[in-house]
Amino acid sequence: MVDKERSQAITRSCLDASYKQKLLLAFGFVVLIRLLVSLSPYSGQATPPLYGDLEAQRHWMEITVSLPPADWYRQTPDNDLQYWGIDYPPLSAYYSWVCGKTIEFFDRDVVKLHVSQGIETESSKCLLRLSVILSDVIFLLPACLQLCLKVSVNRNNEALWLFITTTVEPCLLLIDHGHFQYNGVSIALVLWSAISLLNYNFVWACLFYICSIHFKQTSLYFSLCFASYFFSRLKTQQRWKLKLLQCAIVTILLFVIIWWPWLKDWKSFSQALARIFPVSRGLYEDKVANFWCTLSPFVKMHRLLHSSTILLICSLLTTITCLPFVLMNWKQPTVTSLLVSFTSTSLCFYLFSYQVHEKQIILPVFISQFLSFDFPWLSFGFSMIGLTSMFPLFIRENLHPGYIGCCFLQIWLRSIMPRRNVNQFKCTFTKLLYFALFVVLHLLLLYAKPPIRFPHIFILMTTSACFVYFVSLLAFLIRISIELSNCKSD
Amino acid sequence: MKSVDCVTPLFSLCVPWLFLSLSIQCLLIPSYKSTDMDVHRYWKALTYSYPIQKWYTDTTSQWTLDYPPLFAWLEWFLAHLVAVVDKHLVQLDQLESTTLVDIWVMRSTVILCDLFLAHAGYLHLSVFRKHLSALSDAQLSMMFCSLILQPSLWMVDHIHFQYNGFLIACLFYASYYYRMGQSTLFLLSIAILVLLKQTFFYIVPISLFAITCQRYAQYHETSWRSFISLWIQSSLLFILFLSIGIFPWLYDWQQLKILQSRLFPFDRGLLHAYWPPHFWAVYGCLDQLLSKLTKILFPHSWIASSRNISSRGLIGIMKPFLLLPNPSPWICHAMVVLGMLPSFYDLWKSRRMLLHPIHSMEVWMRALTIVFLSSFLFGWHVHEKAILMPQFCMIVLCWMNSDWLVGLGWISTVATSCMFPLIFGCLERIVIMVWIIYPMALLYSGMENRFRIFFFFHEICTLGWVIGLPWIVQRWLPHYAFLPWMMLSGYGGMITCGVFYKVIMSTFD
Repeated sequence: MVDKERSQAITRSCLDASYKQKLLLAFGFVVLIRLLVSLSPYSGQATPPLYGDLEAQRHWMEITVSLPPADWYRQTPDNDLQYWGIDYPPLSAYYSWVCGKTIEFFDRDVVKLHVSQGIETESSKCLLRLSVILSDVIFLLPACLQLCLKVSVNRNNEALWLFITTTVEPCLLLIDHGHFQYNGVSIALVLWSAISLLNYNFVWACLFYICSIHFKQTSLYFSLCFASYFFSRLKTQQRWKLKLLQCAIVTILLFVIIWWPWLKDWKSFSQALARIFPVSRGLYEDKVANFWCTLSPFVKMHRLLHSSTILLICSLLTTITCLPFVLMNWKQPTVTSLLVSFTSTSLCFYLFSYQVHEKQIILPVFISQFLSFDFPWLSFGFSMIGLTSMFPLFIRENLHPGYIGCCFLQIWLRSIMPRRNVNQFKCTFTKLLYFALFVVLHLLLLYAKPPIRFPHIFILMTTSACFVYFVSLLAFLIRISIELSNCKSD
Repeated sequence: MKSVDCVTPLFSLCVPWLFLSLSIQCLLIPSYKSTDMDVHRYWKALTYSYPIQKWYTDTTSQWTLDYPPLFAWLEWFLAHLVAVVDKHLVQLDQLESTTLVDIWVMRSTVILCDLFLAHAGYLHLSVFRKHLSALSDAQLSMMFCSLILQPSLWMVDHIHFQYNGFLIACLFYASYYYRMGQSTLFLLSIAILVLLKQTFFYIVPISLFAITCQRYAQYHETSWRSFISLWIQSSLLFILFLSIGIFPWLYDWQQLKILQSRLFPFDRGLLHAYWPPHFWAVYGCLDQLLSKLTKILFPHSWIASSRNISSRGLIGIMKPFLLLPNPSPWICHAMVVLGMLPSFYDLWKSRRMLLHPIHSMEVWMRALTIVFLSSFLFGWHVHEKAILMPQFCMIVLCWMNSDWLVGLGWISTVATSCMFPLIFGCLERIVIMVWIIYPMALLYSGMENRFRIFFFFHEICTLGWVIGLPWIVQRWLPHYAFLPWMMLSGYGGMITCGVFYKVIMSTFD
């Protein structure tokens, strides 16, 4: 005889958990994954004299804690700009100050001026890692949860799944918690501004967006579609002129407050601006899967044209490719169009704009995760190939285990996706071909020795393959944007 | 009736969660590693480079091979597998230098061996699906998760570095053959288990008894004589399997003696470094307390001049206790056997149920839990890792009966917290603190209200021992560096004893 009453005990506990308990579990899980990724080696571990991004961020804390704000962007005896001088906007520097003060409370040596340069102790690593996790918990996770609740219709399981999917997005996870950066904060601010826009809170939207730009200049990637969405929603409002005035006042006030220490004379302001927008640093850094880097083996742009001409071409190309999405936002300001346009314009900027890093792919990839229900294959493929485009970086920093772990995590998430349509994950010949190509490229990068004449040939091959994917993705997104802007309902 | 097409295959229910487990295991690759990794690496190099005769006689390294022959063969196999990728790893003269790739390759062998655990769990679940049609898909995947997503196993195998997942998998294979009534394969897998790790000798009597009971019930026999003859049959078969395993060492008396001294070192003392949460930890705490009291009450007695060394966490002390009598190895063994006896009674009492693949599993796993708990609580020189075995048995019990949930909650927390001192590194320890809360989060909502408050209290206490006490001691009592770990294991020991008592009592219901 089978006793049904007594069976299946362990399973009952999890399945009967209420929404709040599940939410708590999801939060805990996401934090746990962040902690686990933090175990990986960080950028520039044990590589003197310059180390890597962890040392850069730590050095900024050291500078901001010890020196007055006016000296932050200026070459002084105490602030050697050649050694990781601050090149992020002021809000990021303020945030460094907050983190620095907090870390100073626990361990003085980590941020001591001059003495702490190149410090690599257990506590320094631990405290810095925890500061990223904590800032994610404070800024990113609540923002993601809010947006997930907006995007998904079903409050319970779908929203939670989307929450986990977006927050353990591999590119952001590995760059922020493996490589070490604070991208989560700037992305969270962008998300908050998007949420405010969806709630018709125009003042807050402006506030968050300005903050985000002042945290990291790459948030400017969203500016075109943000503006079009903003005005398109504003024009339907009553008394929109008053609201616009409010927004303008808030923007100017915020600008003044943030820049206050450098506004006293023109020279310090222009110095700071020159640090933040380093036009002289070239078209792109390292090997980026964008248009210019893919073009470089065939046409050497910087030899043909002057850098200001290149800058002009870049901006023109970027603006033209962004236009369909700006138009879509103007015509149909819906939730989906907001997400699609944020994804695509940041992708356009990544592909065509000036001074692009390979890490900036995390912006479009991260936003695209919110589209997981609408375009499952798009967001999955985009995150995987975005991750691949950074694989040379991960090889350099010994992040292979984290890379594989994050890939497995993605496979797990996609295979337990609720409301799954089998057809969406159908294997086609093209997908298989692409998969095989990337497996071969990975193996080449890992094991093959490149010919002496072309030492970067395999890296270039990988980034070019990613570029082809990104361009086809952009074409797909343009098609979607045209469909969305023509659709009458809403 | 459900149509066959609608049922999701068990395979596609389990595989996603396997990926989650793999991902966490991969993320643990760069974490803190103990000397156990060097030990296992040396064993790989040893078995790769030397012929069989030298495996147990080689004394060039401090890490002599002290696992049974089949484990050495496993290392030999893994060494040959590893040599394809990373030759540097298995060279005896290269042991001093450890590259990053070496660590990755070593860790991936553990991940590979852990796949067997997932497969064994899958086999069990397929039986459950066949015989319990009421189980929903979500429940089945939860059962699979409870098996492969265990923080305590991750701590021992993937941070500290050992191959316990593989051993547990073998135990589960044995249980699978038991519930299917395949006695020869069952005895073979028990023999393999013993040849993989000598501590499994404790389950040999109960296994022989269990298989005899099952076959006895199978043939509907009633006489004592047939029971004895069945018992002798299975024992002989078991001894045959065992002797095949140690065949290369059997013909040489000298080799056999070395093997025996390597596998059963009684001179290593009662307690292992950082006490495991067992009976002797409670006993030791009591001893400490009493000797402290005596010192205060009688400042001129002999006790006041002698120092209490049991709290140092040293290996090889034969007489660790000051005031209470020190047990000899044979007393420990007698206590273990005494603790096991209820499991024999339980099996005999419910021998009619042994033919059903679900009920036999419950009876067998309960018996195993008692045996493992008894050997863990009273055994001589027990390691912390031994608590994994009763924990995994209780997980399977929980699949069938929700009464076990409370016990599992207690044990899981103790198992996770008792391995805390093994693992260093600030971030690693924070991860483990999250893992200590993990069973609470999972099990809390499944419990009855009256247990919840105790369980909550227990979790808070454990966290307190793990975080608060070391901090206090480090700050204000620097001379008592081992005090927090002693308190932790004493507390855990009391919990484990309580669970053991509950399990024993449940057999008399």
